[in-house]
Amino acid sequence: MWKIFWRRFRRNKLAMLGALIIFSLAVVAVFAPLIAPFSPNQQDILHRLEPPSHKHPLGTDDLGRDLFSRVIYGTRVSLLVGFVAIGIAIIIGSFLGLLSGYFGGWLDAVIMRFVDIMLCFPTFFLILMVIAFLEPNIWTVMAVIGLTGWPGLTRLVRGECLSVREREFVQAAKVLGLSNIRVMFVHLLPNVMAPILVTATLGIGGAILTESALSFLGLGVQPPTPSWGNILTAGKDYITIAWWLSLYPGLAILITVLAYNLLGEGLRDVLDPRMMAE
Amino acid sequence: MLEYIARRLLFMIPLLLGITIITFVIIHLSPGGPADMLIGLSPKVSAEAKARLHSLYGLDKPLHVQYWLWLSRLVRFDFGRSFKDGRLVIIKVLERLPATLLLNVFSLLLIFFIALPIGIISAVRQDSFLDKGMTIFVFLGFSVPAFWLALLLMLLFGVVLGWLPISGMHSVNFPYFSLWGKLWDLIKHLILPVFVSAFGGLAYLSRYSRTSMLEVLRQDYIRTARAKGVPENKVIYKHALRNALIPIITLLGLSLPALIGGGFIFETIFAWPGMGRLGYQAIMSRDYPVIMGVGVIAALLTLLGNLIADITYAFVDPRIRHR
Repeated sequence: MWKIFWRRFRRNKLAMLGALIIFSLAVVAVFAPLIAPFSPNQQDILHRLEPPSHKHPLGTDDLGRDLFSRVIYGTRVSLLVGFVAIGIAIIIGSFLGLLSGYFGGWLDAVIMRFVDIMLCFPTFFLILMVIAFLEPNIWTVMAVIGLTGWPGLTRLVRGECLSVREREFVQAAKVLGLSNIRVMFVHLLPNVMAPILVTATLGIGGAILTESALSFLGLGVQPPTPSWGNILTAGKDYITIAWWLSLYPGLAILITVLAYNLLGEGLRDVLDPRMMAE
Repeated sequence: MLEYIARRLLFMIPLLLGITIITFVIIHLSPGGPADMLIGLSPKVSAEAKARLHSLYGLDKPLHVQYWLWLSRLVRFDFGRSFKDGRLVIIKVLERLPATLLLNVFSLLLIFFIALPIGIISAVRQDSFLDKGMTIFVFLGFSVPAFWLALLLMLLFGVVLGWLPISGMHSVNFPYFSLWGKLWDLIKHLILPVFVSAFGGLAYLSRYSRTSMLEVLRQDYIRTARAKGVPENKVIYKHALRNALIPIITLLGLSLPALIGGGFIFETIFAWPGMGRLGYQAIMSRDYPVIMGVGVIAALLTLLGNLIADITYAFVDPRIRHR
């Protein structure tokens, strides 16, 4: 089965492009100290706000720090936040979705009403509200994005479970007397894995966007740690005289999120169970 | 129909209760609680004064009693007073509401009237040049950080070209303009914020209406219409479009939370005097009563948007009403 997926996936050029970009970004994040020509926080006040040149490929910022190096180190923050936040959301979302879809009844009703309520809040404001009460840093940002990001997935997993639960192999597993936990995680979960994987991939892109927006507003990753969002905050103040500070970090966000979206949509096409039948 | 609306309204009550509980829990997450926040700035406050404040806020009572007291103030729209200037929170929020509504209504209109035709045309001409172009646009729309787009547009239209103002809702000399001058001034200030806040929704809705239209075009009644010899134009714009519109209406209602949530960024960037900017400023200055006020009103607006979408949906599709 995985061979079929892989063959179909390889034919999808856009998804391959997305995967390639993500792989390169991961390499950049891991080997950031080797790739970056300067330390991201090394100030050189005499050469502040210099336009892109041979020595500084993307120019320098208001403290004379090398923008290229800062953008490279920013990759670490973005990828980390994306993975951890979505990891949290996926664990909560799939677990509640499985519970809701498998057991049904009052448990289902309670969980789904809670999902309705969560979906009523403008998510971004909910995140802002919580961060206002906590100390804004990379850990709270990841936790909050993760803890608010699960309701959509719960709904999705529940819907899938409702249909899978009626299939013969689940009935058979129940008749055999397997425990509920075993049926849920060994028999149901693998069959709803495809939509979870697609949502996770698309969700990482969304989480990176949210992190950059939070950092841009000063409520995310705090300077001097470079994050694409907080580089843009500094760039905003110099937008009339130093366009490079506003252009490149945003471009980095765009490319990264685009890569996850391409991969996610590609996975959707490849893993769609309706296409499996063909 | 009336019965349906009544049922929907009743359904909102548990949702509202849930929203207030979450908000209440978030307040109590804050280290130290509201009273400590008030006095936290001056270390000279005596223990006695602290206790007085605690009983004033009801913090010495059990949690469920506190919630009840807070809720009974809330239904009277009493969110307390701002820590910053002592004005009533509800007044502060309400005076910012028109600007936010103006922005969101125009964004919704823009989304609807641009995304819908794009989606339909690319569904009808599936895999055409236009359809492929739209797919690229959709991917970009999903991936562009909106605040960055705002910065670039401000740079291009405000700084380089100088065509549009980049912040605020009115020019400085606004009071001296004629009526048409005022209107024109407002429109010029609206263009960039509306475009930026609509951008994400534009991509989403055009994608969605394309899918919805493709789905409808595969239905049997479309084949029947074609077999009957109904002209292609009529098949698409009369038979298919009406049915494709139904799910799109719901989606417009559901896109409200994203629009309102996005407002906190766009209004801040464009210095738009709306609720989002008020909320952001309140967050930055730790003005808790205002934060809570904005949060509850924003959630209410979302519920209202969903309700309107539901009612319109039932209006368009009679099957829903009789379920």
